[in-house]
Amino acid sequence: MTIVADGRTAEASFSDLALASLPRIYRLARRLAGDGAEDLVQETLMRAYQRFQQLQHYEAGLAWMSTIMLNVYRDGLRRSKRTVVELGFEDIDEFSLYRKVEEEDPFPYSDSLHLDFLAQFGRDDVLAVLLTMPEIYRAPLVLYYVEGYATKEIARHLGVPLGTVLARLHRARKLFERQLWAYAEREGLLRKPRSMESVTP
Amino acid sequence: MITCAEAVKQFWQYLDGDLTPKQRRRVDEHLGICRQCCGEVEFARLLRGVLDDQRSVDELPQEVRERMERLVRDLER
Repeated sequence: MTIVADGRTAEASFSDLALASLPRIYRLARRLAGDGAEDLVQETLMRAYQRFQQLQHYEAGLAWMSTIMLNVYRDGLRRSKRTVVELGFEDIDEFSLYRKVEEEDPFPYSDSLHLDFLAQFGRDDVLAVLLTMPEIYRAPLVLYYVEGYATKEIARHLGVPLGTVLARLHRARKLFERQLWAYAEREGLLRKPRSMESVTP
Repeated sequence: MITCAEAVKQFWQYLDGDLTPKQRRRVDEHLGICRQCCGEVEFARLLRGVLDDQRSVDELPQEVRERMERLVRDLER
């Protein structure tokens, strides 16, 4: 592919784009596919290579690569023909992590209970929480809040109606809150706030 | 006036700017009189930040990078 930069023409190679894209597409793949991330990246690179000549503007390469990954991901979902089990609203619709933390009061000596609760979660913990969520809820949550896609784009990329995306996103937010609490309980994050570890015996 | 339960359901969308003007006005009215829900909405803002923070993660393991670099080299041969 020929690109023009600063008035100079140069040949941009597929490898330049692929290697520059790797951190971002791996991050997306990890959050969409969990342990299947490497396979998803590999298939994305292979498909992108076949279509590289279709890329019109090299600057759009990163977004183009992400789109290819989402297509590969969607095709994989369709191929697997997994039964989609929607969660009932009754359980989670009114769940509030804010109130749960307040009611359970895991750090009785804390002056900033909710902040201390969230401070227990490192980035790896948050990823682990996301990976406990069913894919149909995790994907819209990640695409909207981590990757910054609009809901219409998410509907197009995942091949589902906009209304389905909106409903799943709503449940996904509540589910994320509930899973944060469950993870904190399971992983022993509720014993004492990290900020107080050095001052308590 | 909407109840706390109704308001809580809408806080993320409120912060996302995804409510209709009428819905937004109702949430604003509720927040104007409910201190508890003001805490809730601030907490929802922090939760969105926790997700947004995932964007800055650079976690590509070295061995995966090497395998993918090898794949790209093989594709271009």
